[in-house]
Amino acid sequence: MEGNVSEISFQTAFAKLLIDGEARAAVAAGSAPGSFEISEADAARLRAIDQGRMGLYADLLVMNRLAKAVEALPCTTKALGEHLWPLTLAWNHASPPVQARKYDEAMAFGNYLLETIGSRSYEPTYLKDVLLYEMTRLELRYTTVHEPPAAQAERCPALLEELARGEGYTRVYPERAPHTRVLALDHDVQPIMEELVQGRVPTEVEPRLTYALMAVDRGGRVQPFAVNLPTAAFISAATGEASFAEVLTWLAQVFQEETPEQIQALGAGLAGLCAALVEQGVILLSDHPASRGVEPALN
Amino acid sequence: MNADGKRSVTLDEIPFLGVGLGFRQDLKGAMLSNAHRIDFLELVTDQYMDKPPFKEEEAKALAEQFPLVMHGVDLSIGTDGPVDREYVGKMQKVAAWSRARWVSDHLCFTRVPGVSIGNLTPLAFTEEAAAVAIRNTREVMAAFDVPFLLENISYYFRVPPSRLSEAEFIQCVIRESGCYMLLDLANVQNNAINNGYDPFAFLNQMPLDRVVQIHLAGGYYHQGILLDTHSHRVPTDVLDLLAHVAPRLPNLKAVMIERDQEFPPIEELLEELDQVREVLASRWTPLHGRPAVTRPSGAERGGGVPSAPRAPAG
Repeated sequence: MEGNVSEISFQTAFAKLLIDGEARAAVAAGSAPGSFEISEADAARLRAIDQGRMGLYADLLVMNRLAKAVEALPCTTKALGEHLWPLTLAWNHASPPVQARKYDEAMAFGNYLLETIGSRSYEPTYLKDVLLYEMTRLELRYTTVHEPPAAQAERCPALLEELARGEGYTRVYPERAPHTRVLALDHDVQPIMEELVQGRVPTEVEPRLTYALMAVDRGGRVQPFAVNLPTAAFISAATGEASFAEVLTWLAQVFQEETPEQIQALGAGLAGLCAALVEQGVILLSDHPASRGVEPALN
Repeated sequence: MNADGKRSVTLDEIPFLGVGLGFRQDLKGAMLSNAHRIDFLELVTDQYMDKPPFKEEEAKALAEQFPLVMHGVDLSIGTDGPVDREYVGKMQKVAAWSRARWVSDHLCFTRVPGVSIGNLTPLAFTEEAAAVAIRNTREVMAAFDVPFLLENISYYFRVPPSRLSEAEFIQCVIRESGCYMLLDLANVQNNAINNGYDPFAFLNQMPLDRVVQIHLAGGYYHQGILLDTHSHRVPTDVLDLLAHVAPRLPNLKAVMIERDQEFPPIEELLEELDQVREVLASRWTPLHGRPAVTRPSGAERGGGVPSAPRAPAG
């Protein structure tokens, strides 16, 4: 049993067995695990472990994974109610742990839920919106690169002044800051999440189309804002590849503003909105397309 | 000097910290408003790795109010492979932000390439596994100019072929690597119950002169197994172990309670700290004659500048 096998081969087999109940049962029964290769020496060592205790430990590992998901996606996991544990077991089987970080585990669980929720109808109906909201918040919090583009930011005031005068529409390129997201949701999730945080699961919630803007401040905290459709549309169109004039044209079509007077008023409104969003760090302005050779385009 | 040319910290130079708590976000406000009753805090290193800037700011701010030590959970010192240098680099950053008096992790493995177990998993108690842990521990120690401690873990089964006893295994790794020990007395109690041995006899076999810090915690029984959950008061059994072992630890600098779940009101935790101080009052020389509440505020200590390392009173 002791042989000359390396400890890493044993540790790898041991780790794989701990996260795979079927493999554990197979090895205990003297069979090959199926999902990976294992030497007879390692299998003999693993069979010699107290199988009941190893099973208990494996259950604890699943609970540890779930604890990370609950901490990072508290409202989603609360809303899941009695579905939570069966879904956790299914997720653990479908998606074994590769990274121990809370972010990785929670995103893996969230992505599994998105697939599962997409293929079945889950109650409550707002579940998907709450999940998207929490996953977006988590992603921004953990993946934002905290290096503000200072040079671009410094050019913003002059460009804003131009826009305020009704000038420079064709040479100013608004771009959504990389650490911002706009979500279109079928429910107003803020009051729903306030209830969930208190441990209450709202049951009868009417659908209501809402837009949520999330931005990361310089300390790395995610700040959520409820925004209206024009604001959401402007931020979404601000790709850095289209000029302010092109964004204006597109939004005028969307909102069916057709006369020159209407378009002029919309332009002035967007210039004001742009100033507010620049102030919040949501939009950056530059005097050249950020497309790195790609033609400005709006689809 | 260690391999990197850094001077190794001697036991006499490791600062005395007293009786403290593990820092937890849920208790942050309560801990800050009761800073005068908590001698030091232990931060979980991994909770400050790959995090937004405000976590770095939090660590720095806490370092202004408390002496800090760092405690990691995913170094995986027992994995038979190269030390994860990227992870060690992150540990170094966090230790620098927090001006950590020392850093610690566990004598176990938590991952292998491609699989993260996500929990502290026992090693086989063999000479071969000990050699791996010794090699990796020496490499980690060389990366720090503060002491590095290894903690004994809770485990629910022995990994064959464990030719050594657990105590022999720990002794071997701590002595041969030259690191210091974080002795978790709750883990000793759990293992004694779950694996059927005498905790007092076990403690007598520990490298007691290398113990710098003690962990205390409480768990609960599940299916007849005492789980290491850090969810309950420190039980009397564990305090008895503390009373037994404390007088035999000439280099003990810090004792702390870990609480990770079922957080009670802060007053209950502070009372537990006072209870620990009472147990130690006649058994731990640095506490002789000290009142239960001793730590001056950050401002009184000169804005949280680390105190000069000093030897314990006896």
